[in-house]
Amino acid sequence: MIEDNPADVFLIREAIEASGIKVPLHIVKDGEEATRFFDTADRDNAAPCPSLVILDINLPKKHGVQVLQHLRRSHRCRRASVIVVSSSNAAKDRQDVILNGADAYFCKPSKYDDFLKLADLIREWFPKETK
Amino acid sequence: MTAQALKALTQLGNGSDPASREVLDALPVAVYITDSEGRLTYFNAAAAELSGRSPQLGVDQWCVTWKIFLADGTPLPHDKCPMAVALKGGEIVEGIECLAERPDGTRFWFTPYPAVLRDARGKITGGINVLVDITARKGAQEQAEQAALLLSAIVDSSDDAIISKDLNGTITSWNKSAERLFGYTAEEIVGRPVTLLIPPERLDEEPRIIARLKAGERVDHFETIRRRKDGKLLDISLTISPVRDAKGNIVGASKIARDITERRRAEAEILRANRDLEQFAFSASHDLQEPLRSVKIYSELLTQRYNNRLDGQALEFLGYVRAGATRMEALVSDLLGYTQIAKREDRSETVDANAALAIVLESMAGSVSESGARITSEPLPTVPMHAAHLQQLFQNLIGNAIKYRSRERTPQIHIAGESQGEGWTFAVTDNGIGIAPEYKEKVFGLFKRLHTNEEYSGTGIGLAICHRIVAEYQGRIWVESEPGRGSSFRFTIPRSRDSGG
Repeated sequence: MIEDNPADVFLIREAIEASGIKVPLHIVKDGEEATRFFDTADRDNAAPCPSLVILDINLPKKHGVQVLQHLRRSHRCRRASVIVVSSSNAAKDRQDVILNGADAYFCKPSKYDDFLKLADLIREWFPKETK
Repeated sequence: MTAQALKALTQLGNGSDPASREVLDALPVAVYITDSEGRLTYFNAAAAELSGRSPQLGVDQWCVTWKIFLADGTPLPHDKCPMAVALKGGEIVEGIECLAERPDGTRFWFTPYPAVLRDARGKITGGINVLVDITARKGAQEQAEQAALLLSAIVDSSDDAIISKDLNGTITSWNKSAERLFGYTAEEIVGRPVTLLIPPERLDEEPRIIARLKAGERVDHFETIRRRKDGKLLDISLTISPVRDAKGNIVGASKIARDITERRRAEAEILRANRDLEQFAFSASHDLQEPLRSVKIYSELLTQRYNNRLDGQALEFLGYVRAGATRMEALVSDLLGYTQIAKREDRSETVDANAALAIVLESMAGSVSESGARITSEPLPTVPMHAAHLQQLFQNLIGNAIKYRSRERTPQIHIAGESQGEGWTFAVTDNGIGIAPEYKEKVFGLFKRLHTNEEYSGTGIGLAICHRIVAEYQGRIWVESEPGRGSSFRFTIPRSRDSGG
């Protein structure tokens, strides 16, 4: 999970729990930390490499789209599924991340129950072979 | 007065023979005859009438007139008049313009045609002078000169540069403002090509302008760039009209150039300020949504998960937090809508207002039936608008008509629209609570609300959005209302020049 806002970290974590998928969860809090995470995975086969990335688009230090492009160039992590979460509902933002290789786009809602619908996307995009 | 006519007159001799007298008397032009000393021996009726006096024959000398002046106003003594000069054997001066004063003080312009009479041996025996009255022509000439003077005073005092050129593009006149605007003096530039003022990359404009002028067309408010003597470029607006000679042939052009550099700069400034403001409002409203979401979700989670651990007042406070956040969310979202009213890009777009209304009414079916409103409409015109804009107008105005309905009667809402000379006028009329006169203008401002949220919920942005959309079309929106009886919101969409409609 790449998310800087603790309030959203909590909600996304609840959605992951609701999805029923139980795997180790790594949380990074800004764009630079995220790209470092992928670089480390490329250098060190023992380092963790994500199967599913939940990526907030509005990140400190490096924008989510840059992180996405970086991920797609990583030789170990580039196959990871990517769900972009964003507070923007603008069609342009949605298009932008899909064109840059995101698999799904989730607009952060302002109702708790609606937020839990992220769980459906997580189930849909979590790679089958690692389940 | 031709030389031939004058010669014929001299043939008549000194007027002593009765036949000649008869001819001279009948002539409608002033004629007088003198002896070799210049003493008057004869004058005809026309001469008496023109000069305003009856000279004494044998006494008056040289002239039939009372006082004579040269054209420049200097008095001309009688013995220096053309007739005197001729009789004294001097040069015969023909065709000069003189001014004469009658004894009653009135003046007239004339041209004398003196001739000397000679005997068989060539000795001067006298003279004959014909005075042609040119007062009428001089009057017209003076008027024309005065008009020209007035015109040149106007041209010189104009704030706009006024330039004329011939059809070869050679500058023929240049006023003071042209000197100010372009930096060349009239002496420097008259006689030189007008292309001096045109920057190299715009030189192709001149043949096109000349071609239009030759076709008798006027070039109106052509906005372009011209170059000053010091090389500085100017934004100017040109109005160029063909100039015709007396026969109607186009011989050149007059050009009025107005400096619009300042206007251009101000326009760019306003445009930039508007864009900045829109960008700011967009970012602000966009970024405001994010923290609001957290406030809403967590106050909701608190209520859900800690319901039995919070006392009544804590839950009540949480309710306020959520209500506040919900309201702010609506404000921010409407504000975002306000900043995102799309600019009309395709100016050829038209929309059938009947179809736009149908779409809006369908989307509002829920609130319409809930309110019990009766909605009627007339056949509406097709207008040159972006469909989403017209729909938004209908939606906001009908939405308001439903919201501000009177509780005492069935809401009735009527939508009308018609084509008029200037454009189209629409009206959404209701029988609701109405608007007090002092608020008629204010309601269209951003965040302007007349009611508390408990009475009528709303963000105060809906009518501001309507105002902005109508402004996009250079239209007008206003409200006519009788408080307690109802309101009629009206807007106009003018026929735009570029749509040709």
